[in-house]
Amino acid sequence: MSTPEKKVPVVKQTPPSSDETVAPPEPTATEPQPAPVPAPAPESPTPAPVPAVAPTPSVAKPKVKKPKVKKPKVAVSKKDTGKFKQYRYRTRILKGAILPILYGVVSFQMLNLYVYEFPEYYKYNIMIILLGFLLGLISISSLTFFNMLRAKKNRGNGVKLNSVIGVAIYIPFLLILLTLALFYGLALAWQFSMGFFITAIFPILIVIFYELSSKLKFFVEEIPDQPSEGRRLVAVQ
Amino acid sequence: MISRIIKSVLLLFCVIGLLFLPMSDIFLYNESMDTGFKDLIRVSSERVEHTDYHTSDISTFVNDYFIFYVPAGNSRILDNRRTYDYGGYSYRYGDYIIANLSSIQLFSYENGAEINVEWLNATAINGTIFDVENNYWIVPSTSVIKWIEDLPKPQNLKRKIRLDEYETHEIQLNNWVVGSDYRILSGVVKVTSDYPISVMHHKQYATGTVDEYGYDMINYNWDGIYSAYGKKLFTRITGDCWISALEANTIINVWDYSDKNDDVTLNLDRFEGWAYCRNAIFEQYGFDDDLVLISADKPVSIVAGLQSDQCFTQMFGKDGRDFLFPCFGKVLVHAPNGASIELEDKSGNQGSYKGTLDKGEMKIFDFKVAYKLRGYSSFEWAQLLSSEPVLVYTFANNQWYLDENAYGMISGEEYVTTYKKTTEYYSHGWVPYPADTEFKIPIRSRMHLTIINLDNSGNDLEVDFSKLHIPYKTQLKAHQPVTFDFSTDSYYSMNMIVEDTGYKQPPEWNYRDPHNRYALDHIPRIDVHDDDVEGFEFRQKVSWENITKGSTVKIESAHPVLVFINYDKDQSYYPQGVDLIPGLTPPTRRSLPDLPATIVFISGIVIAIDMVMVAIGKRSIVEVFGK
Repeated sequence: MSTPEKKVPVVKQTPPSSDETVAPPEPTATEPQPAPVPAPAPESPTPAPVPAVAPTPSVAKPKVKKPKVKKPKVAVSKKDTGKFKQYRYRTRILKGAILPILYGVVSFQMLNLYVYEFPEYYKYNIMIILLGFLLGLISISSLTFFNMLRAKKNRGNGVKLNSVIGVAIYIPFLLILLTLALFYGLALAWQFSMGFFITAIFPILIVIFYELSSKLKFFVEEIPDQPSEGRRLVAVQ
Repeated sequence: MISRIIKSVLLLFCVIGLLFLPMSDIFLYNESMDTGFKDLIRVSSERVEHTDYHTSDISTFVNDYFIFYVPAGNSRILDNRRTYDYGGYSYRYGDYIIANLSSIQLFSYENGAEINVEWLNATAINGTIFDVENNYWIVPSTSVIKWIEDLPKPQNLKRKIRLDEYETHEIQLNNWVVGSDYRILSGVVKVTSDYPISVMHHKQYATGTVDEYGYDMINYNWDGIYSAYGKKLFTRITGDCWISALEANTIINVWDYSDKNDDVTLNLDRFEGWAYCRNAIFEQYGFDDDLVLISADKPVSIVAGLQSDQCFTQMFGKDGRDFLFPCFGKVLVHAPNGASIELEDKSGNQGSYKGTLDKGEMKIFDFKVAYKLRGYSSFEWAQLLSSEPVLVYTFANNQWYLDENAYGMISGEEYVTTYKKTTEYYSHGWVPYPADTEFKIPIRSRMHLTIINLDNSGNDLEVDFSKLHIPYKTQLKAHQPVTFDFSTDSYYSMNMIVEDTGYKQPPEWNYRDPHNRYALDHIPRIDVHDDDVEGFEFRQKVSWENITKGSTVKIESAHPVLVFINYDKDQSYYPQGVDLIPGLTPPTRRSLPDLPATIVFISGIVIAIDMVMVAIGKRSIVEVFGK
């Protein structure tokens, strides 16, 4: 179940989707850096809409509709050269965890059946599962955590999310997986991957707890049509 | 747009992978794929008719790890007045016992299979005189059976054998000397191999090629049938062979490796069988003691050997539910979990049945098979559909004999094989597997029942015979066998007794008059106190009805055991029995993965990429349909 992302002030006039919003672009490294402007707190300038109170039959009060205060659009950068969209990092992590957690849970369920119902029949290697688990725990969870930590420290501009780190994590996973599959059996590769996938639950927990503890919200900023041009993680109040 | 299409395809791939995951056999691929790649290269350059010879997966009967019990086959006196002539001199022996005439035969599928045969425990007896005429060792009556560990200098307990592709090797047990003329009599043997092999045990070995079809000598040496299930089997077939397809459009190749005169290629439909057995009218004589390779693109049920009027074997079907097999007289169906079954007697309909079996219930169906003399195989096709996995046996218990004393006799041996599930969420995917902790064994005649501990440590065992309800409890040591002798007092003057072949209690010969037969003295015995006679204990006598009319043996153990049925008591002089030994390594794929497993594996790679990319802020493929 995904967590709905809250809207943040937008520059773009087109209505954003439910989990996304538009923010001014990040200044590029080659351009002269503008004075750091605090990232906008998406909801802070906008008063929360007053919920409509349903009239109760016992108390017959005339329904007073408060005028909705429109949230002023706030530019985070002096230089408004492009259109960035902001996506809630938590929602991305949550959606990204659906497939690996499904894969891991079904795999563990299968393993559970064979191990406990047919112990003499089916053997598994706990060390291989732990290896996958440790790799996932150390790489994915720590990557998530340190990204947020850096974004928190560099709250104004956020931190650039580098694909190279992802590739650097993925290569050892792929190497171990293929080595196991080719030289030790596909079953071991499967056991390794199930340990890896089940760690997809930790980034969710890390993001949730880190947001709660730091009272910040983390957003991924990217240009919609050119996501590879620059992607950064920003922390907002 | 292109990116979205690619993501959609990847997402679809991952979803299909997730759907395939529970029903794929990915957890069965416990062997490296390099053999699969080697075969792919080899097969690409081979002639079309040889392309079947690809990697052998590990299945129940093509396996790389076997532990089994070798019974003291034919270890009985032949004739106490017999004169033995040697070199013009005549020797006379009062009583003599021949050593174990059975043999273990190994069949290899791939080049360079290093096979180790090792006795985990065994008894030995000193056979000193070789009977040239009958090709066996004679044991003096003064001989004492010893455990091999008690021999002064036990030696030669292991053998290493190297076999190439489609080679075979036969180990004759009475020629296995373990020190000071002591020869292996019985025991538990372990066979391991680096490549999958098949192992067969038969009680007597053939004395040579038999050219004359239907000649009794072949029956004398090789009576008995065995069964198997799988996609590939390299074996020895004396005469008869039945192959049943249980899936539509099954292509089967039968290669006669001995003289190439029995090669055949079959394309069978579901529940279609092929009978290649003795039939003088059709001038068909089956195989002539050939080495035969049977390979099929889908698992088939195989029954082979030489059908006799006392044969007995377990039948194997697809998922334990769909069976097509030759019935040699009667069919016994045992439903451990209860089942609705539909049994069809395809010749005459006498044995057909449609109904429900309760949990643990056994039923016997008489097919009224017509006896067709010695030059013919007497059988009828039987088809069985079951809602749950069931254990099926067929046997011919001398129903054609006029001598009522012989009626009901069975001769044969079998390792009881239950079914194990290999998929979780689907009803298919049950394979035969021999080791278990609970068995319920039907008894249909006088028999030896041996239970073998597969554990390296102690194993608590409880055995209960349904007609006595005296649980026999013991603890078996590592790989220790225990044999139960179910017999009657009326025919062979033997009671139901228990042979505990513990290491510290070597069995002794016990002479049993008036039938001039020797048997092992079984320790300890099951004694039943008779309340009618004060202070007197005697052994419980078991009647013929007790052991033929629905009696069962229930076996429970803390750790997995093997159960070996040995119907050899009714043919004491020339016991018959051939058995293909079920292996203990769970089914494993050694070839390249099949489509579901491949999709599951690749989808795992894609999901891992997605997982890493999301961690660095990218959009998951799950969000492909979002804005």
